[in-house]
Amino acid sequence: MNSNQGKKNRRGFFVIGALAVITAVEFWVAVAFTDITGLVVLLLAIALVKCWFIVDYFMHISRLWLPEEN
Amino acid sequence: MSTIHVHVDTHDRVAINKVGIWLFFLGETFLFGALISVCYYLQGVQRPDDLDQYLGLAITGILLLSSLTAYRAEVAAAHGDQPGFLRNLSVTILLGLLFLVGVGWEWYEAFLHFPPSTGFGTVFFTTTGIHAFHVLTGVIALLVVLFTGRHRGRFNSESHWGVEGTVKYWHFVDVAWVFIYPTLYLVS
Repeated sequence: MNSNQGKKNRRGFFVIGALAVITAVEFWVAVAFTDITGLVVLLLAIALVKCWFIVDYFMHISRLWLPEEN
Repeated sequence: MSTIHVHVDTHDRVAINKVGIWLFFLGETFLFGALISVCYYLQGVQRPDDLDQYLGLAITGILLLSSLTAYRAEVAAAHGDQPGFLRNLSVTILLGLLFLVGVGWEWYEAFLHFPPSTGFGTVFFTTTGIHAFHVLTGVIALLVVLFTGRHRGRFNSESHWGVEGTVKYWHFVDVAWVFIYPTLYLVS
């Protein structure tokens, strides 16, 4: 495994760690919140953050606008 | 009649493939967006107490973890790390199958408490069923990639679109669940 691969793998662990923490927060929010409108908005916001982590770090959407590597 | 030959090199083809798969994801987003909207429209914010919250959380964790192993498989393929590629892709497939077992268990419980004839049962079985079908097709696609990539050198830093495209699809299935999970389990 070269250093570039190791760096990318560490990024993967960072993302999955962030997703695990956010999911735990999401579960706690669902248990703790009683205001249903606030809960729906908050859960949607949390889902959007998780979505951004996956789409940007794992699916590399930002690379779509970068010139292709040769 | 004259024939026009258009030469598209590999580099351009991969770029076209990437745009194509993102357009496919856009179409799929409308599908899952409609399903989630239907959940709120038909059921509002009422969810049955019989939903197994811990099973929902567990299968969510399994799917998120499978995204990490899928990502590592893609990175390994891009760096010519054949053992890492095969190992991580195999684990991804196993986690995908484990997710399907979890959904199957959830369905078994759901049939007892809120069958498809009930309001929540309708949205629950439709949404989880369509998502599980996507997971199943993802597992099949990953198996095809695993089978074709078992020979050293099949995927490398220059050519690994087969892995990249399939793994992107797998991540998309994960993204869909990120929105389905709170809609079905947590909003109440």
